[in-house]
Amino acid sequence: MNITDVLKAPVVTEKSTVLQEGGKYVFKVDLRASKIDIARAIEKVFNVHVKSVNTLKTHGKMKTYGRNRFKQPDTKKAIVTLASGESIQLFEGA
Amino acid sequence: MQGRENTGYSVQFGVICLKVTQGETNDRQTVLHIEVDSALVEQHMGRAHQRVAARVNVPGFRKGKAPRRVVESFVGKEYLLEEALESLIPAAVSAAVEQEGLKASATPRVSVVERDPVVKIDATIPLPPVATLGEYASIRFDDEIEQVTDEQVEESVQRLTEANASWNDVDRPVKAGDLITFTSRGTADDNTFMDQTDAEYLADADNPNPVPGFSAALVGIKPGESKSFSIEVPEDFSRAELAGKTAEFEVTVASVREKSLPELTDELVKGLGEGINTVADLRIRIRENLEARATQALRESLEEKVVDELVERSTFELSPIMLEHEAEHILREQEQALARYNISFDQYLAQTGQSADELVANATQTAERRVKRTLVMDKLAESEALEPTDAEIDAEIESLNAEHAGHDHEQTDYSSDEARQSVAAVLKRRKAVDRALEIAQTKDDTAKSATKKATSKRKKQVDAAEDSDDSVKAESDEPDVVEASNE
Repeated sequence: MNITDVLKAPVVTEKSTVLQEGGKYVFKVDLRASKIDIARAIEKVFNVHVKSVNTLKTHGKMKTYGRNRFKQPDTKKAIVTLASGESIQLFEGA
Repeated sequence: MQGRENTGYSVQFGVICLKVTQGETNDRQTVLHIEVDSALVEQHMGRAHQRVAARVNVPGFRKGKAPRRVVESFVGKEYLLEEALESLIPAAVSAAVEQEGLKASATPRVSVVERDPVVKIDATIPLPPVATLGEYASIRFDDEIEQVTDEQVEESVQRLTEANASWNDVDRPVKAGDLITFTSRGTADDNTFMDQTDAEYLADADNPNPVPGFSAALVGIKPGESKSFSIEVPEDFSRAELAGKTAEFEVTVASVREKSLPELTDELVKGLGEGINTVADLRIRIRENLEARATQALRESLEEKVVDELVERSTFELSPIMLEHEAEHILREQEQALARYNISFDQYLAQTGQSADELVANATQTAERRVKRTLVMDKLAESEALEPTDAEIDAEIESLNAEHAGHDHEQTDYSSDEARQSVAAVLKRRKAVDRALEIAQTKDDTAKSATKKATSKRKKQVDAAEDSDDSVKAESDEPDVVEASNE
């Protein structure tokens, strides 16, 4: 998979902020990206070393708009653990 | 900050430094150029972040939980800085004022010159007003108490009997001042404007109803008699439908009653007041009351005059900012007073025909007068070494409490040091007024010497103008002049 398509956005929530203190960064990633893709992308973009990647998929909710029912897109999140001592300036320009 | 001659030092403020440069002092106002240390700014930014985070909804965070950099990027750094300045400015300004050893007499006027990277503030500090008492020992007012005359007493007695007057039926033609019962019809241009049956009417010459001259026309009608007459209504009459027309009246008088004043007897007088048993008692009491009122009025007018004179003789340096502050205070008081009658400021302006500017100008004038009078009193108390004693303050607080006890509004607590001080200040001013009155009413040696100086000076000037060779003679004349003036 093309490395530029993997990372979509950082996830900025209370939980992700807490995780950052342990060197774990949360991103929204492409549904089709594998853990290896993600690790490579992170290493390339932020110039750090990735220790491990955990991923999870969230299923899009069914929504009703008037008479129409449609599905919100599924998303995939990745929790990236960096090598100890390394960090990402996540919010710069975010 | 650009260095100036008298400036450029920083003093420890906690752990934080403030760089303060004092500008010129004009009109009892001085400008402080304050450069706030970044550590102090940081401290206030931290607090500002907490306040902002608590009220802003940042997606992904519960209220008040978003970290500083998230909030900063969400609302913008400028917004946070504004918020920080809100608490930073008063703190920095008051610290700077203290650091410079100044005392602000009102809220300083502040403008932020620069925000980033250093916060620079210009604060205009109104300094406490300065008053220089003029020469006050020679203030003299010899206003005499207004004597209560017998006529005044009689007038009061008269009013009392009038209030107790009764109306008695009489069988005679109407006279001015009678109370009559009548049936009447009034028409003008075939329009009936008055139609009354068994109405009561006071046939007093001053009574302008229903048209001027009506009462006069009634005079002479006997009870049971009817009369028709017409009256020319003046052009400027208040009822437009009658003005300038001829009004036709048809009146039937039913009864005539005459006012009869009760005889002034001990019987009547009893019960008018405690201790009043005879007519003589009543007269004495009335006289006493009138005299008390006259004394009070004299004292009030004297107080007014003496303080005005003191103000006149003294010089002041007042800061415009402080005056403005006082004026605002007065305006607020007025607004509250009006609000009690459910009147808005705009309505008040419309009613009194004042413009908002005039109102403010008035308030400023009042403020200036108020400030000056207070200052003069304080200064006088100072120079005469008048201080209320603890016992006096206690007594005053007690009487204030007693005064408030009957009302259901909030009790003022006078036990705090601050309240005590303000009570003491009021007492001090009262003492100063008393002292000023004392001075103004004494006829002591200083008075003589003051008169002497003034008289001899005048005399000399006159003589010098008339004939300069005669100055020796003028000197010898002086004792006579003084004696004359003493009498």
